[in-house]
Amino acid sequence: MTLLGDAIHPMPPTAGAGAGTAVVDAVHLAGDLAALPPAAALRRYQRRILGYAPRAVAAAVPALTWQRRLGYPVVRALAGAVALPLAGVVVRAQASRLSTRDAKTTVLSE
Amino acid sequence: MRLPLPPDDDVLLIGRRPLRAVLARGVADAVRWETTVCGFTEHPDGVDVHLAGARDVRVDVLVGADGVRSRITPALTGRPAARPAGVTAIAARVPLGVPGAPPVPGDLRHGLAFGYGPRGVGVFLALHRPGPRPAPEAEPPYLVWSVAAAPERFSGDPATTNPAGLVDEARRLLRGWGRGSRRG
Repeated sequence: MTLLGDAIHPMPPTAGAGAGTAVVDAVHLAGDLAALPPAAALRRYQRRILGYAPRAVAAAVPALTWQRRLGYPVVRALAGAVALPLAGVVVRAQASRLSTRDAKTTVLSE
Repeated sequence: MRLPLPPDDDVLLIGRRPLRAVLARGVADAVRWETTVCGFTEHPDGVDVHLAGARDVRVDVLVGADGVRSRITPALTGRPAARPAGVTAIAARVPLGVPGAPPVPGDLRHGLAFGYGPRGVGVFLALHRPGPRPAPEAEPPYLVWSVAAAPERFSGDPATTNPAGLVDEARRLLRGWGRGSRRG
């Protein structure tokens, strides 16, 4: 089990990078599944995500933060409301319980 | 403020529909459309995926790629995939290259635009214009506009407002905005 795209690193659309980052996820996941047994592939894939997805999310957040600040000049803006709440959780919950036979992947699309 | 984009490069944009069509190239036979996943059960050697109105499917790896409203994410992590961002937006696409099409600001040819106004109202603009040798999946040119603000700035719930009402709401949120723009 693993997650990909907005399902793991929800991103505001303000940098136009949500779909692009999801495609990057998919390329990494496909490469890892082709090279390694599933459990090891998912571990590597999820570590990789932590290497770039937080930056991509962070790049998209300032536009939203500015918008909220301008909307509420007095109230402190809730920075980080769109963050990376799940990547760490998934990495901790990574499924070493998967078998090591060849992977057949089902990608669920919206 | 500038978006963190390479200063000398144009930004390439692709619509959601053509992107999906391009991604499905070569694997169309493997895609099952109009199938709702309602749950899954993990086993030592795979995952049973439960489908609404159809038999379970056994797979080696299940990848939840079902977006900010993912059904897989809460089942896997105990939390929803996303939290509200505190900003609500109306978005629309306007066909270009047809009679009555609006003029397009020249800067949009180099990338998307994001503008801020008073009371936390923001505007997003993106131009979708096929290149000189468009892929078969490409759509005719269009402009995406979006008006965003804190939810309480809206007079009604955009989710239950009809398209004409949404246009009126966008006009109301933009009241007092001039036609010009200034680079930040």
